[in-house]
Amino acid sequence: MIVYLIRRLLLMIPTFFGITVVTFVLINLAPGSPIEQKLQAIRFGAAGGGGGGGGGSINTRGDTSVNEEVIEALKKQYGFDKPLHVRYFIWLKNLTRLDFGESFTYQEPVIDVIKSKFPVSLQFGIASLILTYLVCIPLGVRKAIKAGASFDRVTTILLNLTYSIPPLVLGIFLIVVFAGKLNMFPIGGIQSDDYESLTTMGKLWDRVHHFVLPLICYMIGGFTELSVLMRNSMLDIIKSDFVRTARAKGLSENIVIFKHALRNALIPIATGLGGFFGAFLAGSLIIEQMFNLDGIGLLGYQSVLSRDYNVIMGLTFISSLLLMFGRVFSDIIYVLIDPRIDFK
Amino acid sequence: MNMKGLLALILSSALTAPAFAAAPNANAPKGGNFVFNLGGEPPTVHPITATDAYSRYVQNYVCDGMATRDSETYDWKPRLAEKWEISKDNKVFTFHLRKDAVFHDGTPVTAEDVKFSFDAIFEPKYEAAHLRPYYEGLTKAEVLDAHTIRFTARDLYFNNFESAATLTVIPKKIYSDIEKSKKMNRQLICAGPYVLSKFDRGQVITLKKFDKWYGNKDAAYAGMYNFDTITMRFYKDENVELERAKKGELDYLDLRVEAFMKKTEGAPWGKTIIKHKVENSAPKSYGFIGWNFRKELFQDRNVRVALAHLLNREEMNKKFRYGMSDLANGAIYLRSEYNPGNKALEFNPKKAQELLAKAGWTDKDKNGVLEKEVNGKRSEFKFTLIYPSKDTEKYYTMYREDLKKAGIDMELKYLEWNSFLKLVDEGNFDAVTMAWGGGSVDPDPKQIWHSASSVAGGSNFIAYKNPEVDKLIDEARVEPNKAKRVAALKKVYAKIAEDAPYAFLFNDKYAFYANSSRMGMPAETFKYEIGRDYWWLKAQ
Repeated sequence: MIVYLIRRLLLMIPTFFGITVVTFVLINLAPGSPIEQKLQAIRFGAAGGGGGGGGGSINTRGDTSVNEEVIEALKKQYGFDKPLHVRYFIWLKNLTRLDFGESFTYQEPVIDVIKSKFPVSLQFGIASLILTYLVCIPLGVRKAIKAGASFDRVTTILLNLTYSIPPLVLGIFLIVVFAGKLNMFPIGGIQSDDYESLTTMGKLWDRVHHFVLPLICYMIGGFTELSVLMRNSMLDIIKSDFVRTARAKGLSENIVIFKHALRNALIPIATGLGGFFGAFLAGSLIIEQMFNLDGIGLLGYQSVLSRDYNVIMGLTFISSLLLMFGRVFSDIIYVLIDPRIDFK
Repeated sequence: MNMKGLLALILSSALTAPAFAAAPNANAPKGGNFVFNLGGEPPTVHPITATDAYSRYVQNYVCDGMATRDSETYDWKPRLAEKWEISKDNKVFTFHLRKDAVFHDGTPVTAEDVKFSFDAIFEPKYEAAHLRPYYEGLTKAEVLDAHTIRFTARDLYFNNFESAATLTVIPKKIYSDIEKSKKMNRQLICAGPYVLSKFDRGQVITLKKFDKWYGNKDAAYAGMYNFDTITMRFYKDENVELERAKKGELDYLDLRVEAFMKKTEGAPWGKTIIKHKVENSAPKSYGFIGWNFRKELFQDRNVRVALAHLLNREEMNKKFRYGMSDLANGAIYLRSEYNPGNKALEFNPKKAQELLAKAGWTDKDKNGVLEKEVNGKRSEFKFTLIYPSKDTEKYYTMYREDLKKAGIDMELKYLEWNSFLKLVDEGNFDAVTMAWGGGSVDPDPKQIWHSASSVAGGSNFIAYKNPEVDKLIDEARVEPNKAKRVAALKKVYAKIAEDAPYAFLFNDKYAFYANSSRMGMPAETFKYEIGRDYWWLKAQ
């Protein structure tokens, strides 16, 4: 196992280079470098880029061509006067000092930008992860025990229904009905304007209140997947020989299910736990935009649109690292749950 | 503006705009909080490094320049400068600053600060290359005394004065430490009527009335900036914005025509939130399909006019725009005094067919597609239209069907904005569709229509070239007399319309917006803007 882990960790190095080189080259090859973005801003005012509605205003001077001097100044400002591979090595060198450079859009260090967006995504990531597991494991077990009965059928229909609703539609529905018409929840944001003046309990309640609707949107997809996975895995185990033997020994149904069967049924579920690391960067463009949350999803999307290379690279670096560690973590959990598994 | 110019303005305004004259309510009650949706969050509000429209909104409240336009007359109105002189040769502008103006940190506004604000744009360390093209017309700013500043212009370009007058004035004391100042992305120290008091990333921007603003005691600004605080939100999703408004959480929001017609019916619309459809003279955008003059296919004027005649704008307006738009008649806003008033091209397939035949395009082999012999080689009438927005696809699907009936095969190709722009910049396309913003009340067509702008990265990306138009534009740009400029540019716009380089689409006829019933306003709109700076909170 130790050897395996070391091998996995060493393999991460070429993987890391692969991911970052490909991303670096791709974003640099895509049309619309930060220089072109600035030139667009000069040409179209601010209305141009981004959403791609096209067009925009007309600059005051009425001239169109930006002189070479300005273009050269912009190139120097962003370090684009150097060739691609040199820029990549500069990026790598800075990385050793955990310096991701400066965001072209925010004009702040990338790490500060990511840090400022990070708490929102983390809160939702962890909350939805815990809640999903808390609900899906018992639900899946119960569905397996009652397989074929009306409880199983009704919940399956419900789960399939929720799974097929796109988060965008669900979000609008929740906002219009529960926040708008019924006025039960706030429409968005993470806290009320008067948050600072609330008592500790009041603050907690205010946060929870703001959390409910977006959390439902975050959870809806994974919820169905995990419940169905749990149900099927449990069903397989219940039908296996050792469970039948346990029952034949006269053990109570509770002991059979929760002591013998559940542990084995959890193995496929554990694979997903590596995704726990993903919770740190859980961000959804659609949900964040709809609920006015200032998170990583929106940041990633906007950075790609505005070709904010340094932010894109920073996010790529962090997420690929988390993803790779997540996989190793999954493997460790595998071994912990089922000692028979030994990676050699 | 001389009398002749003024007369021309009044006459043309009387002809083109409804007769109204909104005046501020000098007795408007003061106080309250005004909440509106900015639509997005400014990445930075720094007066020099910011480039987006959202930051400009914030700066409009927080920062001041030397002069501004009147919302009703469009004349220059004093702000930080109480008066100014323009030299006879129209190249030197001398501004006399008022003595009671202070920045938000309490220091007085001096000519040194104005000079610094101008020089900072050209200071390499400030990395403000993106701003330079706007100020290139001015060569220098000189301090004559503590409250007098003189700008010298490079040439006679008519907008030079505007560049100087609207320069955002920032305090030298604070912004001269460039490294420190560049980090001030969520702070803004200027001399405007409001102070930026809070900028919470992703949440809100709050402004507070600046007690020491010179205008508070000046009768010239009576009835303006009545709110104690202004709260700006960053909602991007229209549904969310509308729900917020319904809940009473927004005092103002812009509406799109679809929202105005479809999403704002029944209570509380009309009760706690009131929607408006107003006409004013602020220039409004126009969409277009541009034909690439580098391609043989579009070099014949008959072909371009025929293609415009095949665009069923009447139907599109009815179907997709609820009949609320005007059919654009050229490259300038319909109600602008610069509009020569030529007739908009109507949907007329028969006429189009005649024009195409005149250009040599006929369907001899009866295969449904027009063809023409060029140098002994037969070519079919086919082209591709590129576009960067899915929202407009429905228009072009309709257009494609009408073209098909006329024997023209148009392919539609959607491209992501940056990829789209790359093809446009390279001139590597057949036809392109986009929209131009309304631009200035006093337009300068050079950016889009002069042949000098037909360079890589230029806005004349269709490579339209007409020496006569070039000459008239060059003359108009250095003509200080507005009436003469209007006359010259009318000819320019008439010629452009005649050449049909674009198939012009629509001009918005109305501005749509909604406000909470808490708001009081002197009029639904002023002549050149909605005029929110004149609103107040009604007594509850």
